[in-house]
Amino acid sequence: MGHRIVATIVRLVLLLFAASGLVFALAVRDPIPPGRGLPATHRNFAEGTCGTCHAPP
Amino acid sequence: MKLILRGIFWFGLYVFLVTFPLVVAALSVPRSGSPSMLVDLADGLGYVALAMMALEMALVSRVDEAAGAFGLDALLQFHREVGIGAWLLVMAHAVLLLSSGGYPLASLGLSASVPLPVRLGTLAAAATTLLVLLAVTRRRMHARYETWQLVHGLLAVTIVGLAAAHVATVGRFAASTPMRVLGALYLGLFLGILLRYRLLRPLALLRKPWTVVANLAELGASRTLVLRPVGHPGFSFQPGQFAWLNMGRTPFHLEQHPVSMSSGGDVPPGGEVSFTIRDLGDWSGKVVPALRPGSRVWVDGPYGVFSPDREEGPGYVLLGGGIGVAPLVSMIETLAAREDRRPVVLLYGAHREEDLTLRERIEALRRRLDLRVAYVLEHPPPEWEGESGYIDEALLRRHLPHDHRRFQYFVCGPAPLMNSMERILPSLDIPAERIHAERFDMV
Repeated sequence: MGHRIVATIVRLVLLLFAASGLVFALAVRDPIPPGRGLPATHRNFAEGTCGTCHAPP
Repeated sequence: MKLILRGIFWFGLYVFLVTFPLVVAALSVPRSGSPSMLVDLADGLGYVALAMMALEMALVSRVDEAAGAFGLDALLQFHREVGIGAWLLVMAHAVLLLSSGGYPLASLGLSASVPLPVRLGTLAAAATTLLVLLAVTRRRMHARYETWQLVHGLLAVTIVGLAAAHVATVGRFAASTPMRVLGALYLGLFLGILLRYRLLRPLALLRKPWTVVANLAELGASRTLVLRPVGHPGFSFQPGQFAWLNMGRTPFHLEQHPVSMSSGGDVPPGGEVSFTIRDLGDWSGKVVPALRPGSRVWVDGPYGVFSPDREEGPGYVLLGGGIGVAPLVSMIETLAAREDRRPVVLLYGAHREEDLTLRERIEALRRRLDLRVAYVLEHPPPEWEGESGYIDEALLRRHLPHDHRRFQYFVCGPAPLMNSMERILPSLDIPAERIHAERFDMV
């Protein structure tokens, strides 16, 4: 496998890994206040807008 | 399995193993919420960096199936460059945490007042920086390869241990049961690879010693070691492949070097195998010339995908420079032994006429198959009638057969030759899948 091909693959892989770190950070932003008892799959990623779907506690 | 599918499988497995902890961590989001986006990003990059570092050894631990899919020189390059990438992610992890405001610069340090996870993380980051610095400056510092390798290995194990302890003590995502189970699995995988590489493989080699039959001086300050297996059948190999030679008292000796076989590959059981080694001033100039007939040698091989046996074609163009000619001579020798009728073109570059290692063997082989040879000398003697200068585009156009696009190309030599061929051959409309290269200065 050529030297330049490997170098290109390395750059792409690093980009992919850095991007996956970013996706992870976005995915774990949890707008649900603690103690609401909502299922973990129930998310609203626009933080602080839970009230648009739910009545305030 | 086809080579390309094997490549996709191993590459996919690598990407999966690096990113999977993120998936598990994301599904184990702590109920306490997240301190800040920067901390989450730092955590994500930290997990990726740790997985990359834990897998670094797997890349160079001679797993035949993986090495066979890419070639060990490509894996070593990947190991080197991805290692630097992992260090960059570690640095990004630290910078993001400091920028988040939650971890002021003053909180860093190794004193007892600093929380244990921070101390462990600081130590792991410092050790990673040291490892990368030593790796990129090894040649400039003229460090002994075996000393460097020992320090490199010990640092790598220390880093993975420190980083794993750092993650475990930080808590947060790592405090969840799925992450703890995953962490244990990854640590088990790391230790398993270490055990296989440093204990099981040398143990297997212990039962398969080789002995030196002859140690012949060659042109170009090189020597050919002829080895015979003792008490085992040895191995047959695909011409162009290489093996790791270890001249220590046992196979556990750290000093070992990848060397191409220069003899024919179709070896009968118990048959001899030759390696041609150029004196580069290190092990090759000190230990190799001192070997006498009867000396014991440990041979771990064969390895490599750089072989015409894997690439069918109507003919072969072999481009070699310096000692890079050794695997090409093995190819020619094997084709001659098989009475192959396909045309072979060898373009062989060297500094001077007296540097044309294995020239006598090549000349003898010319009579046994359809072989055209052009020696290209950088500094030709006055009476030289052959090619001079470098193997460049004009020289290639003069020597390549008219249907050269359908031939298979094998390139082996020093970095300048490899780099120029990677550039020139595609410009001659030779499809990339027919260009095969192996760098002999890979370690």
